[in-house]
Amino acid sequence: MRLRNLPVFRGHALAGLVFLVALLFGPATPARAGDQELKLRAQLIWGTDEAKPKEAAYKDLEPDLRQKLGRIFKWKNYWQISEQRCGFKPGETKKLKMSAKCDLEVRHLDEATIEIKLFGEGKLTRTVRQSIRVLERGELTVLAGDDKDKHDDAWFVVITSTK
Amino acid sequence: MTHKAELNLQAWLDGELSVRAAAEVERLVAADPAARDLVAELRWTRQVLRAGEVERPVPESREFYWSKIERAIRAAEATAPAPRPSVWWRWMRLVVPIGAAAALAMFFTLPSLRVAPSVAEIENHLEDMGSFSFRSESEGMTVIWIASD
Amino acid sequence: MGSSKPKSKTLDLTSAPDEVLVGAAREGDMAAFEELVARHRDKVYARAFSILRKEEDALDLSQDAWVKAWQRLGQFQGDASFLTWMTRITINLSLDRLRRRQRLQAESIEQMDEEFGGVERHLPVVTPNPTEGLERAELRARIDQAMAQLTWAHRTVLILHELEGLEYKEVAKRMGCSTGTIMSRLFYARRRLAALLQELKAERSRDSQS
Repeated sequence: MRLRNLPVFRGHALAGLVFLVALLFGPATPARAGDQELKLRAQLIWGTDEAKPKEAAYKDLEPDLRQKLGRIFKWKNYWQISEQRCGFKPGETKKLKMSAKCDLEVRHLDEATIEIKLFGEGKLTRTVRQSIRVLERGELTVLAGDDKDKHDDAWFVVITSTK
Repeated sequence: MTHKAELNLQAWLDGELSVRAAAEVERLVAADPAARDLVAELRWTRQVLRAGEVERPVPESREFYWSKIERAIRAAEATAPAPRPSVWWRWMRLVVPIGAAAALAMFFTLPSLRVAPSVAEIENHLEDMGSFSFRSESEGMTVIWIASD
Repeated sequence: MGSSKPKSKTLDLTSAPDEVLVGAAREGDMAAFEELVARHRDKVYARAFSILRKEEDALDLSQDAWVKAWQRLGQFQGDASFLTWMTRITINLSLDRLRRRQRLQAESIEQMDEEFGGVERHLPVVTPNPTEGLERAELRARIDQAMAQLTWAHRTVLILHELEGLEYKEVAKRMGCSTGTIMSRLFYARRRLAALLQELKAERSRDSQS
């Protein structure tokens, strides 16, 4: 235990060694075909403890996503505000309008990476680069945060691959 | 009964009196029905409190709760003064750049060796908004949480 | 930037006792510390909530307490259990936060304490116990409701003395006042709690009759 916890084993030295060993001896993962279109689904979701407002046209979330979010976050209800589905050829960039205040700019950066830019009220807030392989494994990429006006609520942008 | 006598009754019940003071209170309890009733009330109040403490689980998942703690620990450690490097560390400082350079050279010359990162890379464009990310293996989910400070 | 649940290379985390995890965490094993957090987070959060009575505050404070614990692991002597040590850190942080935020309320409590033998002296003695025969869940709900109606100073004195088992002088030290004040506060808090539980019982029986 002591040896493992020497400072040298904690930081980038270990990362560097692992990286080197992984590259030399680890299984090589075949690269994704370069011209393949990537199909994505983006959902804007509202998390709240309150009931759905009667006048709102929010959709109920599919049960498995609802349960997944419910196991990680504390809110009782999750409503889908909007949804966009889009295909991206390599190098292609598209803007997705999720709501009056929320936009995404998605770019198929290279054969391994997708870049998602999040805009709130027109301002660029975050850029997230995610592995396409992770998305294609069925994993979810979730950008989320507290509701600025109502701190007890939260918003979620869920990105998934639809293959 | 004076207020001092009431507080003594309570202290007797809580085992906070000397032997002599306790004997005095016992005499009072034996002689005064009002003192006995008060002792009974104080006693059951203590019992119900101990028996009825509310269990309240954290309203967040294990991963989400821990991610915030880990982030704060790392932030605090990043600002703490660095420890004095050991001999081993000084030796490793020579080896690591060489290893890293070799790894990078192989990474760029052999594209089939590029392995997809499992963690998203994030850039922050607004200084007044902090963020942190965590990955739930069980749910297959990477979360980038953005908080307005 | 990202983090998933860390894994210890040397320990079977789920079966290792707390002391072993503390030892490993002291040596910098973050996975061992995460396991301690997972084991005790509900109790630590519940204690913070019992004092602060707000979910967001309790979450925030309990997480601060874990960060402090990580930084002070070297001070953990092992003469009490890890959970007891952790709970003490949580209580101290909760009290600091309340003192900062509710200075005005604290002053009004001090004034009330100065009226030695105040309103609690005029409360009729509650007998028999109004929670007799209640199911555990109902008992907990009523106690929670009654505790929420006490002031923070009275609630805290009950928590420290009755639930944490601290002696008068220890409670006084933590709350920054004299032993005499603690005795008065404790007496008032117990009597007020009894009266509140009595009121709740009366309310429930009125509701069930109507």
